[in-house]
Amino acid sequence: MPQQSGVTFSNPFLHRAVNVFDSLELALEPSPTTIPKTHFVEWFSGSVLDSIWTTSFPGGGPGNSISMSDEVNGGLSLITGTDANDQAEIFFNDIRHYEPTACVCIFITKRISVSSQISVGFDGSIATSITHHARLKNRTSDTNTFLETRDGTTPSETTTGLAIDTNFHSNKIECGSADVTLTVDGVLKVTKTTNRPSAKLMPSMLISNLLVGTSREMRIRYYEVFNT
Amino acid sequence: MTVRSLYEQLFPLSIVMGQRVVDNFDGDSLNDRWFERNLIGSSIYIMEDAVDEGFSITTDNTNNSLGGIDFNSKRQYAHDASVLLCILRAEGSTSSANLATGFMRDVTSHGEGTEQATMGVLNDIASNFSIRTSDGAVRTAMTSGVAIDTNFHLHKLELTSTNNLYSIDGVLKATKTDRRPDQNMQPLVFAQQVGTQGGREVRTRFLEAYNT
Repeated sequence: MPQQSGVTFSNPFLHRAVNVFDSLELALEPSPTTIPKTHFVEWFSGSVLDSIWTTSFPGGGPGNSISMSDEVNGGLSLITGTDANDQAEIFFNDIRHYEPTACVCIFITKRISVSSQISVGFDGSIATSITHHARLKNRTSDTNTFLETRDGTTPSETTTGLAIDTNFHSNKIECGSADVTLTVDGVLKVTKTTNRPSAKLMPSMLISNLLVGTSREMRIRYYEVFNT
Repeated sequence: MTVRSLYEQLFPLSIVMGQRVVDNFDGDSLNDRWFERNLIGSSIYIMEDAVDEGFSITTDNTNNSLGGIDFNSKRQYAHDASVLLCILRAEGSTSSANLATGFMRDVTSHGEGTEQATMGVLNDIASNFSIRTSDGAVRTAMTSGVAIDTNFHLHKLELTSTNNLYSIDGVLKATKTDRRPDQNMQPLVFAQQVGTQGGREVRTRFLEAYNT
């Protein structure tokens, strides 16, 4: 299917829609009686990362960076330092607009480097790892990718059954009142009911270096988040 | 069926969307993604305080003054599989001017040797909106057949593996097959006065670029 514009000449919104909408909000929420909730889209394209994001390099080893790639479809590049456990991450600096039991994030990301782990999705705090999570985890020491959740105390993870790789995928995490689901490339892979987040959340993504000696890199080129 | 994500309005999740950017040129200043570049002279860059007028670039009176906004050589769009849409207009005089948008490879030079595909008011064809491309060696232009005016129009550029297509307000106006770019590109909007005619101004209120 050809990629489409949000403003095609013939039919703004779009292959699923049967109507032409006057507003983007109406395209996303057709019921005029429903008050729109927080909805955020980041394209990761341009000269530099928008300053609405906070960047951080825990560990602080040499060689880290966060920058736009100069590459077709390359998006944003996050690179760790060369020391073990060095990280590179971006987040909303504990500005948490998202409801833990009624929110969705959709993102396109990939891990590039060996000896690394990426975690992308929702996070409850930057101050501690013992917080609330709902994240995709792709770690080179594993066979498959995982949906990882944390309820403020206990973490747990469920496999997607999909082998780890270094390709871009579309990922959708939906935090509902009864479960957290992960859909990869349009196919539901995980429905998780245990250790779900219960406190407000923010979008975040990070890469961790699992082995000293070389910087590790991940990419992301789309991130959409909204409350349902 | 309610689909609340923008992504799923554009594609099913089974399609991994390519790079895309959308800018509405609204707010108190230009988004961080853009780099303001004065190649010749010192242009003025401002968000207009006027209904539907978007963002303005106005050259100064330096000979061949040229200013624009670009992605500072972050080239994420394919020369043979991408689209750029821009709502743009000239403000004031359109003579001896380049008031345009499109894709470019090296934004530090707009010369003939710079791979590009641009559209709008281009001094090569003074009377009509036109498309101009360069393969890095030779630059040529093709008319749209649409007379230049100072109204906002939706300009669309589509780069494919066989041609560069230029549409205005939803109607295909030019199909250009010669001297097409063959390397990765970045979006830009720019204003130039050709000679010392006095400042030239372009305004834009929407730009979207994506890989197909």
